[in-house]
Amino acid sequence: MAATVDTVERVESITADKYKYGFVTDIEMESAPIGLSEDIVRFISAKKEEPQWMLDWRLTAYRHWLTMEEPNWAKIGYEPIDYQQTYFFAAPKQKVAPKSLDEVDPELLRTYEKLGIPLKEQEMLAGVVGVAVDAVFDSVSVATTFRAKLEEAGVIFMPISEAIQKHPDLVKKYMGSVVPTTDNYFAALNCAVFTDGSFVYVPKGVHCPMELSTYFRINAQNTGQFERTLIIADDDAYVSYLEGCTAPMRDENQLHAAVVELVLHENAEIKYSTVQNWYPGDEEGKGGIYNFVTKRAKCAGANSKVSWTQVETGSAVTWKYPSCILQGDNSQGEFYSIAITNNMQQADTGTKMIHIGKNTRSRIISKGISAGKAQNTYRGLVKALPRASNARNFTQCDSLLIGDKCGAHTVPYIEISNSTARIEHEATTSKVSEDQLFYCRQRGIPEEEALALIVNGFCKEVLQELPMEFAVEAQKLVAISLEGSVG
Amino acid sequence: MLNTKRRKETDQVSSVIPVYQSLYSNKDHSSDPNWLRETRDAGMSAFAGQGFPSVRNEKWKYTNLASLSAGDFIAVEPENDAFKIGPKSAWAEARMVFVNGVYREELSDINALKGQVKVVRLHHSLSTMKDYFGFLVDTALPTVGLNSALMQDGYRVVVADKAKIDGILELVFANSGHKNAVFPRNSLKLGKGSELTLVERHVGQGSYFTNSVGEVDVQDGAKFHHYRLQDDDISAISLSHSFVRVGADALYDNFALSTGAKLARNEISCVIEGEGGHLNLLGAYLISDAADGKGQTCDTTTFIDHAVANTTSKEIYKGVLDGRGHGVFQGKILVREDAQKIEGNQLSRALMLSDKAEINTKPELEIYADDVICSHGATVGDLDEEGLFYLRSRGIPKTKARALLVKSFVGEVLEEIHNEAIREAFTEHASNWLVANAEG
Repeated sequence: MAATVDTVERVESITADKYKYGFVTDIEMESAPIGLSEDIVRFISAKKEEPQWMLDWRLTAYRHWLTMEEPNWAKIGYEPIDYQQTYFFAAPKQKVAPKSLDEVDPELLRTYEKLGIPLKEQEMLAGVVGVAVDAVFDSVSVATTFRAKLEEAGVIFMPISEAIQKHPDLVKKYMGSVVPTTDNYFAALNCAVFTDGSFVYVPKGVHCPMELSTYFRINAQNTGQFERTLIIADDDAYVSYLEGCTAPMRDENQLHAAVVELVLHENAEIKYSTVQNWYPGDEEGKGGIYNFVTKRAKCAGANSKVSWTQVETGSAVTWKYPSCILQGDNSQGEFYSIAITNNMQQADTGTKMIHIGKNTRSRIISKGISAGKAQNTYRGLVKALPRASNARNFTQCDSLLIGDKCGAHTVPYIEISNSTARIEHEATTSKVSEDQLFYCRQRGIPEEEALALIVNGFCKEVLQELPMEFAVEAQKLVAISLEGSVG
Repeated sequence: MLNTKRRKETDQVSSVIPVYQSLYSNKDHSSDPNWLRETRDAGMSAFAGQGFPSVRNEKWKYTNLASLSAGDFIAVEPENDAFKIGPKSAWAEARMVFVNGVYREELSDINALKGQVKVVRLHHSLSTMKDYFGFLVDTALPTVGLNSALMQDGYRVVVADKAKIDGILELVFANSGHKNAVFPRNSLKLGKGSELTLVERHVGQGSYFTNSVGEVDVQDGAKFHHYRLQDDDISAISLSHSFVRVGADALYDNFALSTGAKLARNEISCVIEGEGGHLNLLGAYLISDAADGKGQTCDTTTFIDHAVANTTSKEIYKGVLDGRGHGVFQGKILVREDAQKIEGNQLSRALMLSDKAEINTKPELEIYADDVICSHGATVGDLDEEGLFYLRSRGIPKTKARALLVKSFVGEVLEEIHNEAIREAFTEHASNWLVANAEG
């Protein structure tokens, strides 16, 4: 019932603010010159005061990137990206690194407040909520909270630029071990020019005492945002990581190419949740974020378990396939996804489950909702290698169409080389049934609200996988994203 | 490293092009009318531009034509037919026989259907077919282009409006010889409200290469039951691409049973152009090791285009994979904008009997209309342990129990065959395969 009330309130409020995160913060930027070259890569590395090995790594990636071609197999169409007209580095000007929130630029703090993540309040509520926020503004981490508490548990949670300085051995060992510099076009680009992101290391046997969360925000005009996240869960460790994002309203397309690497050792578990509601462009498809993400988890150890949960409602173009390499015996991979596209949005998203070890299991639940003139594609791979005895996979991908001008597509690949593998795949495509709508309307629920209710029901299996803090926000997002798609 | 490999692959693919080019230019096409020569030229240049598709071509991702790209297949005029063609099947009313791609009158018997349906060899009517030849076919595809360039014979069947043909027409394509390439071309038209049952049997002996293309026009209200038994030699390469158009309230009912060939691809591209049109694409494949000890590859690739509203399609394919068998299923359903009230259901299931077997499945839905009910399902697995235990607990030996389970797995789709006599014949063929392979 709570969900219904929430939806009702939401629907009432959305007429007033269509995209309430559409504002611009005015802060002096210290940017690199426009464009991309070896000098820019060197500039970024120098700006970050990185050691030589890091610069070499970046340059290797950059040189490889030059030999690659932008992929064109996805069902998305966009204006060609001019990499020479993109800024690859922009950092908010700050003379000294802040030691507490008081030292943080108040302009920044207000931005977060508008986004609904008041850091001060969170710090005050620390004991109650237990959420640590490593907030990223553009490319540089400006405030990190709760670090002391995490340090007590032995958990390392810091911006990756800091980890490169403080924990070079860990970074050297793991960075690129899941997504190598040569992996794909956008990943290679990220390797060359990434500016910041999060680094998490959970040592052996540690159950991370709180949910870790990071809010990314793209702010400066024409700034590509290239985060790099690396999470390592050592033997028997557990961590839940939340990622949420909004971006200000802009007319020019903004490029985003992130890389997330997860490494899991024996018996480790990582739960990675994302709510993505970046600016999707206006109703004519003008503006909006280009989101090209490479996310991959390697279950290196036996009995490890990784779970990706994503709610994708934003961006003009989404190209994202969080994947699981199930290498350790008995390891498990899960992928729960809601992808909502409205107006002119395009999403090509899904997952890859690579079964390598024995008795590996995977589960894919994907819900795609397409409205307006949007195109929504599920693209997934389930692969069982010859050694993957008793591999199990269950896949369900359902698509919902709202309106007769949108498209919903399903492209699963199933490649099995082991006779004891058992794979089940189901996919359906349908529209919101007239009966369901009629039932709701008959009971006095307005059409738009009824739709939000039905769609929330359609997504329930995924929504319930989200941590509490996100589940509420995600439900609101589902409703807000579909605004204007009926009637 | 990777680049070297790619270059080598490209060289291999391109080295085969001149072989077919010279084959084409050495042939005498002087008796062909201009439009036909143009069609052939277009086909040849489509092939010459690409060669055989490589695995980097998304449509051929799982089926590797590298053995064709080696270029040692030569289209030759048939000299002998060492392969023995038995008598007409008991269920057949009439039959046409093609040996090494050429019609053989003394082996055929089409008198029984005379007067009811026009059954001729393509070779004779080709020059008069200007207005309806190739209008469904996509000659730009390399394998189809090659067929258009080098085709010489095949069947042409025309059923008059409202004619309901009770007798079954049997078509036998027998090939023999080594490194022999044949390019059959078939054309079929069912007039409005007509009905026909046709069975194609593909048999042979030797390491030949057959690349056939068919064109099927099922006009408004017509019903066409099209059965295909592919029992080619397990050292042969057998490619087939059918292009089908289904009119309003028409039915195209296809069943393909495949057990033969070292490498087989049965590709069907259908467009439902009239409201009330329905498609059945059904089939089973049973494969194991090929003659060379490597696995047989059996590729079923289908494309269903729901171009208009109120159309339906049903698709079921089942595969049994033993030895090093390699199964491929690629099925795409497209629902176009404004094509409302569509129902499209697709199911692909594979049974893996061996550790060396491999299956690649790619079902695909591309939907641009909202009032649709479309689904696809795909399963891969080995025999159900519980079922096996149940049978064994009743005293049935393990091998027998396995055989029963496999038989019932394939039986499910064989039961969908509309014609009883054909259902029995196909079931028997599948059972024989199981006795010879899976139960051994």
